[in-house]
Amino acid sequence: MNKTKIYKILFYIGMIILIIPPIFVFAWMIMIGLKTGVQNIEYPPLFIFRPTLENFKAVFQQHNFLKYLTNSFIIATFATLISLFIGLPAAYSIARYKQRNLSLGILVARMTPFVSYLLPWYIIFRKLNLIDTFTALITTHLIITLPMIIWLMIAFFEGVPIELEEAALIDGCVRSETFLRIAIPLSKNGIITSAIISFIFSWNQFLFSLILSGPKTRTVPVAVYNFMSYGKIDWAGIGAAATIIVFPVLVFAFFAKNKIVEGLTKGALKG
Amino acid sequence: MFTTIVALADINWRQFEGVEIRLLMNKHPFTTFIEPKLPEFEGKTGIKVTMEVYPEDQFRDKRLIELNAGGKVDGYMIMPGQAKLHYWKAGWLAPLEGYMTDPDLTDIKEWDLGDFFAGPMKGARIEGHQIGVVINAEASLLSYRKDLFERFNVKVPETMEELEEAAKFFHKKVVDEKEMIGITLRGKDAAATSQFVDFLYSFGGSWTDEKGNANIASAESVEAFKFYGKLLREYGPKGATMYHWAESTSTFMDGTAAMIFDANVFKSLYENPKESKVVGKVGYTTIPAGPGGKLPHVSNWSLAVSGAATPECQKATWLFIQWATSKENVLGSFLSGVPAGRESSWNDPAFVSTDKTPDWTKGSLDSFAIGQPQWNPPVLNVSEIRDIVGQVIVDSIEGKDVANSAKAAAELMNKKMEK
Repeated sequence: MNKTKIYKILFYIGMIILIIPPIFVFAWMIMIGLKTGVQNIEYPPLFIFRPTLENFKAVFQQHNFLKYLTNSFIIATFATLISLFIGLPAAYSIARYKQRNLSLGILVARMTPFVSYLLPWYIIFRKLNLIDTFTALITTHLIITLPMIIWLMIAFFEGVPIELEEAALIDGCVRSETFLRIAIPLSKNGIITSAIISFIFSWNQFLFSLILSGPKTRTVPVAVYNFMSYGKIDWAGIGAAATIIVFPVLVFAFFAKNKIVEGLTKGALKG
Repeated sequence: MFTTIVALADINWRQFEGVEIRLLMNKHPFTTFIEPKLPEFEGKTGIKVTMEVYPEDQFRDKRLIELNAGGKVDGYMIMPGQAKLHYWKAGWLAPLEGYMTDPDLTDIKEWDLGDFFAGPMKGARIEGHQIGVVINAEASLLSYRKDLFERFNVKVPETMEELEEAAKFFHKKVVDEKEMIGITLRGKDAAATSQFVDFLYSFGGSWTDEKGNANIASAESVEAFKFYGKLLREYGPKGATMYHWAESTSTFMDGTAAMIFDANVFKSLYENPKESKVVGKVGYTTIPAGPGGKLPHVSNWSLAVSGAATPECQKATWLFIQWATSKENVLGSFLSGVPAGRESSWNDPAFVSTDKTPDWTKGSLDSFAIGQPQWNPPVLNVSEIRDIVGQVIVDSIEGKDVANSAKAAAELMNKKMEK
């Protein structure tokens, strides 16, 4: 009894220790956004100050931020959806038919430094006249999201009890039906998790967006850099913009989190 | 208004009507000034301009990739001291002297080539070709807290010894309940080299000798490294090896440093009440003289025409450059805070009558007059060599054996230099 109590206390202490650094960074970012330029260079740093919303206002007024947010949203959403559409059957096939070589090949695509794709892509998309289009950006983001979804989902599909599918096959299902009716519903939490991660990675992608986007398709990570100019870094603006950028992802993750917990507790073999 | 009419009469500004040009620009105050004025140029010439603006590092990446891949880039900003050798050898820079002297393309009298500062213009020249037109001139100044120098009766440094004395005097001194730092400088390896170069030259050192071999291990160069490192180690901020310009200027603007040596453009930061606590309290002067004399560097951003663009687009881009660097526009950008590359701007009554910091003006002009345009090591792979040299600066700040470090760096530099 006492022992469990001690463990519990230790658990919370450990949790707090682990949680403080990321929370601190996060709080710092928001604080920068709420301070004025002069307050931001103050040393030692100010922790108590009169917050200002001017920076947040300026982000929306001076820069076309809403448009960049929309662009990022369109790209991340489509990249994730297309990756799910292609990646889920691929992962299922790899998991069920043990296609290890195939999965390794996909991993190589993910491990290749992204910079090495850039030049060929730029040349190809230029020839196709697709620079500064959503098509180019969504397609290129697939190189990030697709392997990630496949790799995460292989493990989830392998976790689905094969007995359930065998029973379905005996009852007359074909493979595609076992996939759609059994594997997918039972891996719901995995699908949501991998979708969130791939959305976040696409949302944060900077390099492809920098080179392949233009005035029409500029994304938020590229836009944030506009707060740095020659001989001047607008820390307050960056803090405010970063806070605004993180917000949609946070909301998305927060709602999806409930789904994940739900999925975990509603396991098929439980009852 | 009168000048515009004359200009219109002199060359045919509409000769490239309908041509579309695309320009890649650094997010520089000059760009901020000129971008909103584009409709004026488009209306005057009928040329359609697409201007894409990115912050410096991203701008460099994008420019390099697009030129490499043969993208449609007709003109771009370039810092000749950093990139001209590489870009020239790659064929990405069009020679401009032909345009400048062509009476059909250039309103020679009105544009007035002779009005540009010779030093920066020379910096934008390679193998006898003019590859860019300067849009600003940049030199580094010693900026100091004139209020404190007056209060404590400290002499404004004119020599390196006096600089050290002043730094020593203020370091750790408690002024208005705040502990001061003697001087703040860039200490972050490669980033520091562009400011360190003024010390290098003024101590009589140089990047390379006459034969083109590394000269950073010479006795004079080593003295410069030692001095720069000592200033930061003994009278500088903590963690100086992490200091880029943003950290260094922030420390100065927070009011904790008595002096800073960095680019003159930062005046607009120091004197901005939204960013700085030292508004109106800063004095400006040139780099103090060292054993080798007073030898600051002068750098600039220029506008260049892509060597890979079609002849028609090249000429249309030249019209843009001619318009953007007109007396009127350079003066306009100067009044908005960009140190102008034209003499007439500095003498213009609109500037002189409103100049709140005449010592800054004098320091800048003096530096331009004696400035060395070669501020980077004269090599193709500038970044790589700057990294090598930067390591010696870091070693010096950390109090390591500078002579050995410089020797090792010189050997490495000889091996890695691409010319």
